[in-house]
Amino acid sequence: MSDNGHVTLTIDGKEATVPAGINVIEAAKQVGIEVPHYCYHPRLSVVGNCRVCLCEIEGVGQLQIGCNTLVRDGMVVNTTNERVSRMREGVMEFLLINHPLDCTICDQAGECKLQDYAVDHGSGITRFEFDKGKKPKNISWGDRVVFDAERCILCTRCVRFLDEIAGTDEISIDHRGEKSQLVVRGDGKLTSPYQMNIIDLCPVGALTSRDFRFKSRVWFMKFTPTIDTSDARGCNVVAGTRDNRMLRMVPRYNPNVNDYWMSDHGRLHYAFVNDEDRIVMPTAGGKPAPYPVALSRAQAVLEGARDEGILCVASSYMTNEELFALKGVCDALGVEDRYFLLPMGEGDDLLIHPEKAPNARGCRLAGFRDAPDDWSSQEFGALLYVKPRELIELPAEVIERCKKKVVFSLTKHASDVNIPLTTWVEKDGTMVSAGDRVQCVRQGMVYEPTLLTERVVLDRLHTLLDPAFKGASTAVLAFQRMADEHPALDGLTWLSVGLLGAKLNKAEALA
Amino acid sequence: MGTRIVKRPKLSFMERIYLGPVVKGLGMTIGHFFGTLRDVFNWKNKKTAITMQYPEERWDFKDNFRGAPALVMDQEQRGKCVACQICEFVCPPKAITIWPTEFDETNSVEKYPDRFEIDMLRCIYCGFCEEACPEEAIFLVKEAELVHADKRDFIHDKEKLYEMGGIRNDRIMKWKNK
Amino acid sequence: MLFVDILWKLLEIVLVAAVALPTTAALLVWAERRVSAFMQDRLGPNRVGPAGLLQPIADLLKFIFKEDVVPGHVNKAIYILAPALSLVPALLAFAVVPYARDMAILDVNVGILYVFSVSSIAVYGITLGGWASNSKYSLLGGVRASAQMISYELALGLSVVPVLLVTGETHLGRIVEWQAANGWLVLYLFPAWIIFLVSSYAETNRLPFDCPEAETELVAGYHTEYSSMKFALFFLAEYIHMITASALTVTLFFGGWHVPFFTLPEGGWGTTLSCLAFCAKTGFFLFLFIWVRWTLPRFRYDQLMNLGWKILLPASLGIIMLTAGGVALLAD
Ligand code: SF4
Ligand code: FES
Repeated sequence: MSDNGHVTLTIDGKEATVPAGINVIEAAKQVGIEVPHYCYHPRLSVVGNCRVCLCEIEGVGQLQIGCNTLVRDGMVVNTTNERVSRMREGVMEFLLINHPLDCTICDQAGECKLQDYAVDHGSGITRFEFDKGKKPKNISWGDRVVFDAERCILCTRCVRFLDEIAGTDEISIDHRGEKSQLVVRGDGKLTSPYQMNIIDLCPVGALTSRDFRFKSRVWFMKFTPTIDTSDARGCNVVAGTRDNRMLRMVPRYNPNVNDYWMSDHGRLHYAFVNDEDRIVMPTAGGKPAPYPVALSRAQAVLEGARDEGILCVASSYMTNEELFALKGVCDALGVEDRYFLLPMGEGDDLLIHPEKAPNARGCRLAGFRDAPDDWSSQEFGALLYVKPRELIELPAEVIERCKKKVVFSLTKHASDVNIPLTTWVEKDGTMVSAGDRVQCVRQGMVYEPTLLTERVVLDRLHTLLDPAFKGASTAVLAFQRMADEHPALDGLTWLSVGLLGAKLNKAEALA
Repeated sequence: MGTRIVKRPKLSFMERIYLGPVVKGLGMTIGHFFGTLRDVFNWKNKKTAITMQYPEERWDFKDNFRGAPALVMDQEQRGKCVACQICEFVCPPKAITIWPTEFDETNSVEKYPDRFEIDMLRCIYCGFCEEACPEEAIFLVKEAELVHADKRDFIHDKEKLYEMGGIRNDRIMKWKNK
Repeated sequence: MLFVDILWKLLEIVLVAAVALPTTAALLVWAERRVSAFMQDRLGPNRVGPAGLLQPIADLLKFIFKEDVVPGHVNKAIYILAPALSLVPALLAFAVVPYARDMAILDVNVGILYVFSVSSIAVYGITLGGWASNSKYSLLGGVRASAQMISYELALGLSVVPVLLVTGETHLGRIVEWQAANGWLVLYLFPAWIIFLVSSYAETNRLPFDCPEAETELVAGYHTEYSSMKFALFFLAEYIHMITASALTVTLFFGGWHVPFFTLPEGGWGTTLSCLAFCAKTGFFLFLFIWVRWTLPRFRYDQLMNLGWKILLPASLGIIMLTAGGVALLAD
């Protein structure tokens, strides 16, 4: 063993110094060599049952599985030589013997490891002349996961995930040998709130999502790295869109936040994005009005109510940039009463967070106060209200007590000026998640080309109120401006926040 | 490459008065005139010069002719397309659009096209879809004359495509034996 | 009596100018398309009516129903006048042609001079059309037309002088009668006929001398900016010019209504037969027009001018000399 817990070994002729105690697959990954694997997953226990990761270790007679072979100092590993590739070809042939020719109707096609490895390591032909094994297909494992026993290669990733990570231990293998098949405990329906992760884990198309099933082929989709906004955890995700409609979210690896996983609630939390009822044009006095008309109407309403006082209620679904733009408007109007709404709910100690909105911390950062439980019976001249997209609303009597209303909302809302909201996949911006992490959301689609994001709308309103003000042209510049202004964000840049986020650099308690 | 000066040929007197070639040319054209005339009256049952009279006479297309793409059914009237969308992907001008949907759980095929549209104003008759289709469900049939008064009629929907494609026998009947 | 005469004359004018000539022109358009098709191993328009004979009517309807576009940049009065100006002389020239024995609309003893004077007006139609259109293609076409027509008018006129010398007549009817008595003039004056033929092709702007409308160079030449019925008038004028030119060729060199080796009976039957003979001959020359068009390529403009001034003009002068000498010798 070499110094400070590292070992040096040779993989395919490449010298590699890696931490001791990792396996050959991980070591090879560190020098840019991919060893194929189905059953191995970095966060799950090693079972070594798929046998596709076979490597040649010099000095050891048999080929060894890379997932269950720890690195040793001076080890010489071959992952691509003649012997290894012939063996892999054989393993692939075995795996494919009973695998149905379902690719045409299989949702996994395009991101299927079996397809990939069959192309990379398979022989391209079959020598199997008998009938393929038959197993049940299209089995519903509850309302989120669909199972196809024929496609399953019995890697047990799903079994291990529910046992080791989710802790519900619901799946096991029944029968023996060729007849082996997965079964779900009890009534055959999964219960774990993290069950959909096994869909991502499954290297083949045996587990598919009821929600995403047949909606789109993955190769048509556009993937945007962003975060989940269903709660304050801010799980990193990849949002898949096609034709400007959101189709699915899958977790994106971030060791600091969510690792490889996310909750089902977050994953399914996007229906409002594609809602047909969303408004796509502002209204003024109940009539459709283009943005400039609606905004000058809003200006008139708000300026007219200055003396009687204005109530501003932000939403904790807004990005920091939008909140700071709203703050700018409030400053220009001299608004005293600035609150934000935050829905609360159940949490657990894995990923689900009790705050059911992503950016309460951002609201506090921008100087908005938590909404009081019992609102005072104060009367206001006007209400400037960004309506949270779900779960919580401003009590009707509070709205009632305001004479005039300027409301930002996703769907129609009775008001003097109603401005459409955009959802988080339609804009760039940052949010402050649990653990005071600043994370980026990125634009992946455009619901309707005419829509403007709230940041732009609020900046324009600000300019109307104060002609000396000039808004930032992009979210990136707005973030920069914000970072210059606010000590908590000092030193952060859009790039340093990047894909994995960054911690706020201060001790100020926002939670 | 430089400039090359082409020398004009020196014409003789007879050539310069031009009348000889004129008469020769006139002879040539009148020859064709009477030749065609003879064809028209089908004299000696010869028909050589005249081109095909299109709307009345038509080509007998070869089997590998690439006309409009169409969907086919197998001998048991099952639409063979399973909405895998490979053709939609491979189609260079993006003429194909498919909206897949699900069968109920009893059907082993699971998936079929709810709507299947080919925009024949975009189609370039390349035959990639036929080439790519893993289910042998789409073929370029011998249908080359698409004339419509309304642009929208050029978008062939599923019914039209199945009607054009008709039935093709399937040797394997993979889905039936599932 | 006088009244009936006038009425008869009017009827004759209407029959010839408004019925016979346009109908022939229309048929000619059909013939042009079918003949050209046959020469190119095609069939040509054969859908409308039997053998496509109603095609000209379809064409006419199309012309009538097309939008009559008057571009904003044209000189309007002249632009509208020009098509008429090119059609009318073509009709007028036909007035003195003896289309049957003892029959011509206008019985003037300076027939040939009349023909020339009237048909030279036709150049105005084309030139003005090209000029009024205010477009470079039209203008070039108009310029070419005027230069070409003036040049070839010389040769045309001079090639007829031998006819006058031989027959001693300017009255077209009497020229035909001379030929009936002494044999067709083409036998005496073959070279003059060739010059007459070539020049008349140039005068009618037909290929190989259609430089004024040369599609490959000038879009459509002088009528580029014309559409609908105005274009149709230009079109019609060209074909009626062809008919007039063919009729004159027949009259001057091919014995007009005369039928060789056959004595026409006196009275109505004879007149009818003579008219038919005239029509048949004219028809052949019309066919020749078409035939030539689909055989020969267009001359280059400088070649055209060369041919007119350097060859046809001296040649026709020479022929006049020779004929005059011959006539003088024979008269002795
Ligand atoms: S369903 Fe997928 S993840 Fe589970 S054992 Fe089968 S192949 Fe592996
Ligand atoms: S990854 Fe090593 S045996 Fe499956």
